[in-house]
Amino acid sequence: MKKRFIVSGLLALALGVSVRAAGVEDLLKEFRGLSTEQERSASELQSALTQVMEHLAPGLGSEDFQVREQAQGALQDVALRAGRPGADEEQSVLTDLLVAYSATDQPSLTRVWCIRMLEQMGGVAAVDALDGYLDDESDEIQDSARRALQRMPAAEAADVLRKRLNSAQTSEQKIGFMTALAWRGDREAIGEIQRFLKDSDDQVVLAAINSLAKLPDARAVRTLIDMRAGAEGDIKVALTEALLTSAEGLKGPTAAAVYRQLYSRDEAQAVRVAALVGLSREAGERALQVLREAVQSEDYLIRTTAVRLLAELGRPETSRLFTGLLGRAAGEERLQILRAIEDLGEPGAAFWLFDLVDDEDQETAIAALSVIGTVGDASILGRLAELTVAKDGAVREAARTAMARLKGDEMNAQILRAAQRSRDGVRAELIRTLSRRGADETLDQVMAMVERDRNPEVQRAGMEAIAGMGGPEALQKLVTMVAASSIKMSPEEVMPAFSALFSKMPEANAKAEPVLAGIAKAGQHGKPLLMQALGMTGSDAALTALRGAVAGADRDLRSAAIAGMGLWPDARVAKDLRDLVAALPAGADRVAAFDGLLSAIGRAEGLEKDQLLVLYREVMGLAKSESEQAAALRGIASTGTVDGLVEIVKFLKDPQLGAAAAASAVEVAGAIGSAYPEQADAAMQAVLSVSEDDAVRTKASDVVSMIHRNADMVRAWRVSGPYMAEGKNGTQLFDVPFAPELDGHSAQWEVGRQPDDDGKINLNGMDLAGDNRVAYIWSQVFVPAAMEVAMGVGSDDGVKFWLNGVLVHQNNVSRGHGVGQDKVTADFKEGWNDLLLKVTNSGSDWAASVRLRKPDGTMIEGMRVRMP
Amino acid sequence: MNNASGSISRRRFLKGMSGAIAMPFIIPGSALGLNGRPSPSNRLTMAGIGLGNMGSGDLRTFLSGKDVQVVAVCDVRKGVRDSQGDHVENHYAQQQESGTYKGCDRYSDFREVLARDDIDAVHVATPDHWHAIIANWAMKRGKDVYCQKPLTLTIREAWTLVETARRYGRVLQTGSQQRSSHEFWLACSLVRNGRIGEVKQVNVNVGGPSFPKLFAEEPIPEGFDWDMWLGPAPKMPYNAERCSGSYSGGWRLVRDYSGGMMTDWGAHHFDITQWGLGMDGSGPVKIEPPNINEDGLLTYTYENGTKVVHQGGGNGVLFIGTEGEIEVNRGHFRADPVSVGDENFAASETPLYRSDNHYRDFLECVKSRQRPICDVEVGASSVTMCHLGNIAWWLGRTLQWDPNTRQMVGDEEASRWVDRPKRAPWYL
Repeated sequence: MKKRFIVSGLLALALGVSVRAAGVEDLLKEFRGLSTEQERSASELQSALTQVMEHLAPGLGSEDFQVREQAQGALQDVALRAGRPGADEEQSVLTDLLVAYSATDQPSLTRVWCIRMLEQMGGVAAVDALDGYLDDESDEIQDSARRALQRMPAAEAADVLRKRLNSAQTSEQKIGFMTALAWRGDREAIGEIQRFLKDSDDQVVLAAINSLAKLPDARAVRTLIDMRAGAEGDIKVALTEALLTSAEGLKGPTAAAVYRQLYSRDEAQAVRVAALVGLSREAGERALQVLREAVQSEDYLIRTTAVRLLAELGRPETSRLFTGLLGRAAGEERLQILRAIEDLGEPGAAFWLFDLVDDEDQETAIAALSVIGTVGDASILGRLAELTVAKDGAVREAARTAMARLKGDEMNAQILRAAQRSRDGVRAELIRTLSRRGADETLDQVMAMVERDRNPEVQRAGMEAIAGMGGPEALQKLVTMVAASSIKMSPEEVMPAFSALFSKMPEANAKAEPVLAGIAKAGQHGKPLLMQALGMTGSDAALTALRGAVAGADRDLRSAAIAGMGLWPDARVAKDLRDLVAALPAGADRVAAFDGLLSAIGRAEGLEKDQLLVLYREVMGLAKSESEQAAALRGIASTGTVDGLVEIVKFLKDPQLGAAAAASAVEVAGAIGSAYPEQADAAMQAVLSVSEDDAVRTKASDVVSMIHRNADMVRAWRVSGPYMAEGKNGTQLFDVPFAPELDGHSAQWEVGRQPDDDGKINLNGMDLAGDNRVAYIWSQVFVPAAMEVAMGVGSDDGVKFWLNGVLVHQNNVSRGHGVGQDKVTADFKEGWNDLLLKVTNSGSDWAASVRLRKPDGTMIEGMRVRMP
Repeated sequence: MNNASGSISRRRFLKGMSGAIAMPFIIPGSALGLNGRPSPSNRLTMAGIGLGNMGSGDLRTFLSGKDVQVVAVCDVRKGVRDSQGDHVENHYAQQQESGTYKGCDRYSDFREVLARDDIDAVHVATPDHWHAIIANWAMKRGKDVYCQKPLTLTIREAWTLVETARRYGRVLQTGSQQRSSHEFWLACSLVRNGRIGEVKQVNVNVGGPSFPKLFAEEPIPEGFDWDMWLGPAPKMPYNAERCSGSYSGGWRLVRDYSGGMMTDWGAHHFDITQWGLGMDGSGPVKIEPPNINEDGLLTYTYENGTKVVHQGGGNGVLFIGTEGEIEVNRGHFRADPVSVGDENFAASETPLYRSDNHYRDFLECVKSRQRPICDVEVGASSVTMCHLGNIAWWLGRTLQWDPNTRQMVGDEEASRWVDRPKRAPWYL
């Protein structure tokens, strides 16, 4: 700013306008759009803009590029604003001024910039001057003037360009004027441009052909066709392009003739394809014939292009033609034909595609079913439904999906009617289809049907229908259905339906009350199922009922209640389940209680990882069987803690648990390896020493590699932040101190995420993300002896670096991250050293990295990194 | 009208099946529709044009493809093309018993690369002001193109590429690779299936536009074809920073070569915005620059009233609907309420076409002749949105845009920015 002030002052003195300098600055602000616009008469406007130009002109040609950039930037603002709609007077005055300042008596740099401004906003008054500049001794001025005339909409500009093309001497001039006229779409230039088709310079000929391509003309087309007959290389490519684009522009018989010529078998494949595309647009019935022949072509691309074009034309019976092609096609081509049939959307095609459902290539069958689902209508419903019973695996699933996608008026009602008159298996599938289609309006009729049908498969489909379509009001129906059920259904069949309905009901009591009432009325099959479902409600009354059942004498109800506790939505039942596990002998109830206990711990909220670890350790103490111990180990692993890893390693040599422990150890070490490299490395070495499982050993080796990769990078960080201050951007926050850099202030530190492969920690990948904020990252590095260390600090954006509490580096910069961007040398003490970095973010990406090496660039032997 | 969407529709039913229906591993050129010529070693032959930051990364990715043979590299800097050419040859040498390999030619002029009949596809990662000329030239000569984003320097250039690609049936993958990332696919699939109801607003943060920028003149380094680097851009003296690929400066921030972060990052996040809104092939109708409306933020408005607001925050793209929000960025996905983020799509829902690998998607499309996930029309639509934001920003006034005719409405000066003249002898 200071520099600019001095320069401006000197310039003003030199121009003798010091008295009005302040006024010029105000005018400049106004004409740049930075302050309120004043009303002025024409003469006042002329005077004001003249002052602005006088003020800026010396800077426009300054040898000091920074001064020049400021002046040019300011003029740019003024010019762009003057070109706004409705500011004709301002545009006119400024055009005259720019013409004056682009004259030959001005410095070259000033002239070039003023011409560029004319290019962006100049009016017709600049045309004569620009015409003159085309004779300038400077190539740069000439080309700038040509570009300005090209972009200027005034017809007079085109007149100049045509005149100049006529008299152009050099190849560069010819090319420049021709392409400028073509860019403008100037059809009056066609004749003149054609003259250059015979130029001795191939580059000029190419430019002429390219220009004609942009100015479609029937007479020129004939010339181009004749010329193409003997052409080769780039000239032929350009002529082909010109003919194709001319045809696109001209359309009609001329276009069709061009396309027919270019569809010749002698032409290159890409040209034939382009011609085929054109023919399909222009040749009417004749095109249909050509395309129908083309789908039989020996050329893959011609065949598939023809299929696509026929699909786009969408004539009746095209699907029939395509289905006829399917027998001979294979692989990707067959799929392309199927896509075309799908695009055509002719319902009748679905019938022809059923043959493919039995194709030995399963993917073809699936693709065919997908198309059937898109184009089919109610007429194929029964056939499709039969497939859902007759087929299995992926094909059956594709048939189900196809039914779910069928479109048409009243389709849901038609499916319902079909279900009502179908045999049991098909009926169940049709009910499931209604569920997948979200046909909520049919739920009552579906339930009525299910109530009458004792077939277990239909009953199960009914459950799924309630789960898929039912709202809270359906709960009573479900309870009644389960309570009255005369068939024995498994919890796996029933619980999803309750779960789906409960997920739509926020109130625990509203969930529990109908179920409790249902238990009272339920038969022997229904009562345990409802008791188990009670566990998902989370209501106090439900918990009382479950506890009562656990203490009761009915063995079935007791088992159901234990299983229900395992489904409880929070950790409130953990103590009940722990007591049950402690007391129960081996058996199904113990399995349910044990699994439930682990689930309950997993649902505990607000617990730190260390507290969770304590709970899982207690579970391990209760575990008796190998499977229980393995499950407890997985729980310990899920905490992702160093202590958990240490706990897991203890089981590596256990004959029963060793394999599970090794797998868990690898998982945990992979997750925390960067933050706790020493412990993770030690654990992986232990795994490698005992495990004989190749897959586990490979993963352990990968973890070790990961830990030792970029061993010179600091990869274990704690992170604190984000820190922000009202009204301050990233750059301004650089010198605002926050808790981590202030004595006596405590800060909250989180374990940082795993660094990227290049060793940088991505701060935007954490819950800190955002613009104009600061984060601190903290690590500790051990060196075996006091030494000088060369540090490479990378940051996005600014960075401050404290080593053992001493600021050793700072760079308030806005940049993208690169490893080792800043080179800093600092003295490390023997033993552990604290590294604290402050990283600012002005916007977008946000990251940092630290690389540590000896000053000679070699690795520091014995260096270790740990999470503070 | 929306061809891109149509293409997605056609491919939709293939989701999850591509592996099983993949073409044979070794593809004869004739079967691929590669002008009937058999490819050397029955692989797709490729060349890399522009081998700086992004280009060298692209080169390494394609080099790792077992169905790709890189046969040429091209860069206006001798040191770069030599080192990258050496890298390619060393890579193949390791696969030879002899331990040696020669066969990656080096070029300074892309036209020489594109004149070769034995090259099937090119990847282009030059500065933005070269993208259109090279990609257009390549497609006219029968090459498929992987073109880094942003697709072009101007709106008109972008749609010229669409016309050329369609005319010759060429495959062009725009390098907006977020479309091949799971989190963006998920977010857009959910939004498109109405999980958050009607989308009212999208917040996008990508950074600002480019501006005219000057640098001190420096001596041109030996082996650097500076005039070729400038190409169609106005003549300017050499300066290392001017042609640097650095994100903290360099050509990306200079208007003669790029649209700044608005196009550099906009080609990612506005691209995702358009995908989520189902606006590929179309675009906004009104663009308000910063400091114009109530919020003071660059704001796009679509014909249906949906707004896209350019605002701060490091959280990529935030879709705000009548029934929830979905926020997505690289490695970040958030749905509110959580339930709308459920990845299990119902049969009545249709997830978007999915690609797990942007480069692989391109190569597979070169073989199948399908349109890739970030087809030229997708890239053109997205970069159009970026450029419209820039033009409004530069001119400091509200623009009216017709996404069907792709023309400014009622603003002659703004119309001039839909394209820019090129320095002779270059043209599109």
